[in-house]
Amino acid sequence: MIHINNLLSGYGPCDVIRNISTEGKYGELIALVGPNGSGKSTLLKTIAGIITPSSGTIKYAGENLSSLSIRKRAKIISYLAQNREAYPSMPVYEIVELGRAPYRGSLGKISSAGKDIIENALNRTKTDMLKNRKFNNLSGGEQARVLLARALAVDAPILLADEPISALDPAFQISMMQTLQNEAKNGRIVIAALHDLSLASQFSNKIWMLNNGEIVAKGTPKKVLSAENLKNTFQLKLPKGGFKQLQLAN
Amino acid sequence: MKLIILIICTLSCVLFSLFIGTVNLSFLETLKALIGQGSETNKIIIRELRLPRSITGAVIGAGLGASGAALQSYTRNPLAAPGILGFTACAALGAVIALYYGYYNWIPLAALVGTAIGAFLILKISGNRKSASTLILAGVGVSALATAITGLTMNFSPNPWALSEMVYWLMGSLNNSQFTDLMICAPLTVIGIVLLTLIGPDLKALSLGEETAISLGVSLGRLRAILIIGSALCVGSGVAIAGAIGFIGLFIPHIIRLIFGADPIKLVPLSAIAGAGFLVFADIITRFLTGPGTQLYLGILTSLIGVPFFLYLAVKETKL
Amino acid sequence: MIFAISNIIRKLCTCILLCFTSAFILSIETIALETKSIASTSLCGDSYILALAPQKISHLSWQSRSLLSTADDRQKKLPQVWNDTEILLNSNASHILLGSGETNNKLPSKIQKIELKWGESFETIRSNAELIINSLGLEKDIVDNWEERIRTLHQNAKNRKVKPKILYLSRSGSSAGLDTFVDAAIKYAGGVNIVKNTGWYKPDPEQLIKYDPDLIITSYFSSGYESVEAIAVRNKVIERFIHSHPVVEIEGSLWPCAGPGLIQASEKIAIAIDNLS
Repeated sequence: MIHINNLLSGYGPCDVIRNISTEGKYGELIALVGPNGSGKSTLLKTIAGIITPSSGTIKYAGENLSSLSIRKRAKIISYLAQNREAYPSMPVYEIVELGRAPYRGSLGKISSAGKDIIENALNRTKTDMLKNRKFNNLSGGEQARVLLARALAVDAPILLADEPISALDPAFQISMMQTLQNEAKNGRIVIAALHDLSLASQFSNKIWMLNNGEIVAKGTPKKVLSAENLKNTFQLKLPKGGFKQLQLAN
Repeated sequence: MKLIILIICTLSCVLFSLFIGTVNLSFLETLKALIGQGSETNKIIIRELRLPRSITGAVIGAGLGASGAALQSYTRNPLAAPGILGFTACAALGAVIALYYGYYNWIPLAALVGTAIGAFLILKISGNRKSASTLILAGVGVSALATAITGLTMNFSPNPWALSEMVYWLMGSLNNSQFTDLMICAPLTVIGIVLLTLIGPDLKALSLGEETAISLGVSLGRLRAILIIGSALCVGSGVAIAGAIGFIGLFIPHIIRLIFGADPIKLVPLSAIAGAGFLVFADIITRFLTGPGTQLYLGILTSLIGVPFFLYLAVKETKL
Repeated sequence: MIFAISNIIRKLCTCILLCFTSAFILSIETIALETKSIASTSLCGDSYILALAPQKISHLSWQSRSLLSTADDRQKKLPQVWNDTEILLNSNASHILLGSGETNNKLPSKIQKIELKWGESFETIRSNAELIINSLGLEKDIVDNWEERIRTLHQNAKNRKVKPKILYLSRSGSSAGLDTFVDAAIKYAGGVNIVKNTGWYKPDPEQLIKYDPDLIITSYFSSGYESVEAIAVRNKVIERFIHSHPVVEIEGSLWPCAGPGLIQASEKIAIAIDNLS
């Protein structure tokens, strides 16, 4: 389990997130929703150790994450960034291989067990046929899947994804969400920041709703995505009949 | 296989360079002198003039190639190079201050300190912004400042011809290399290249962006510090001996990328090998083209070779 | 009657007094016009006027206090000038000695300009000296003495049966080939320049150690400026090469150009050649 207590964090003198207290369990896909600027990315980056919080604690398996070395923390948390960059352009396999960085030996040597994990990650994200292609030559959706495979190659118990489905077509979006859901089902804690509320309600076990840097609601999708919460946080009306669910054709 | 060919090319350049010089020695005379036979003068020419010159050229070229590769990987920018980012100018400033105020023995250390200060300033000014323009601007700015202060230092130097000498010195030359220079330059450059090679895996992780790299266990502060120290050692020791030789750190990594791929773990050591071979090759050409009284400066030649090649690469990349 | 006479005497005295005063003032002006002073703008020019007319120097060049200057302690305290019109006008010198290659068209005509010529022979010394002597109206005895010394050198050189091969090396590893004033000094000392290239020539270290001179002349080794180019004093191979041959150091201050010091330099070389045998 991951426990977050009274977290205060941000960039420089301003705190973007305040009084964040929540927890996540194994097997949960937690959707982090909120308007732009509500602090979703900041929260994810703070958990990942990219931003140091001003105060508060994040504990995993009883251990305070800030007391761990960067390398140890990297083995516990896998982070999938919002911007999909890879310079210079390398073959897909080498990019996914980077997920084993926290476990590498001298000069980047990877064990055979590590190689199996990489293959597994490629299979789970259906990117194994793209192995030898250059990253820059892929479509946006393919790039997103490759980067997810990289995040899965870390084989960490916690997976954080910052807007993993932005700028993807609906089919790719659903396919990505299914993969994240499977990861949760396989025992990980997956926290994904999402803008798409209907996909959040369809795939996640829990939702943390952020507004102005604070958690305003947390719980099941049905409970959190209530008319009142939608109105207060997003100035939206709940659609009649709830969120419509799209399915893949095959 | 490609690696073996690269190593052979570099070693061939170094060996071939022993046979070229202003004094015409036959193939046999050169070989004899190399193994300690033949006339005393020939032995001095081959073993004490040409051999240190070639090895020094290889060492400096290796350092420039490696630091260029590391800088390009760190900044994720193909225009990054020790010369363009001002490292060379800062090293030259340190060396000039030591030289003109009579502290000749402190030149290598002063060049190192100059490079380290310059590198720190450049990376600090450009900060976390990885945009090409910020980094290049910071580099151009620091380079211009270092060059101006170098000019000022030489202006106030007791030597009235210092300014004109600066122009020639900044053009770079291996003409006066000797073993004592090599004894200073080689260990520093080797340490620099080793440091830069060791950060190869971290540089590779950085290709996914800084946030992802941190989440993969890369300490950015440590990475930056080792990059600065490694580059300072390579560039500073090279400039202290041979003046400012540019362009190698810029286009050698590009060529290696084309042949071997862009993996920074391989790019740094391979650029070192290729840089070594290329600088010796360029020095061979200067020996052919230098006439009586007119010396062709090495830095001029590396630019003359480097620029058209780089333009070709640039055009090729934009066409794809 | 007495009153009238005293009036006349008073007027006569005033007249005489006025005449004397005018004559006195006129003579001061004449003396002033006849006092000549010379300012030199170059190191080369300094060496000429320090030898020819030290008492007439009002200003020396911007290099007069450097290691290459032949000025003594008192002369080093003289104010310095260079080829800048304002500074030259401010010097109030009657004569300006410009270095070779220096020109100044802005100086008023009442200031006499003397322009040194660059040359590579002993003949240069005479022609430059004559320019200065004629301009300042000096006696020719010093120049005659120089001519005598040059003739002596030349004669002794002709009489030498064996002329040693001589290599000149400056601090920066540069040498002097044929048709340079160093070559002239070597010839007049009774030696032969081992460098057969014409002009000021910088041999590669490889070429340098291929020479096998009987005598090496070094210059600027002890009195030169620190420089990136100072390879002759820092390159170990060249250092060993130099010390494996007889060496004589000729101070750089003697010959920054073909000036009076060239004669002394040639005489020193002649002594070194004598010491070889």
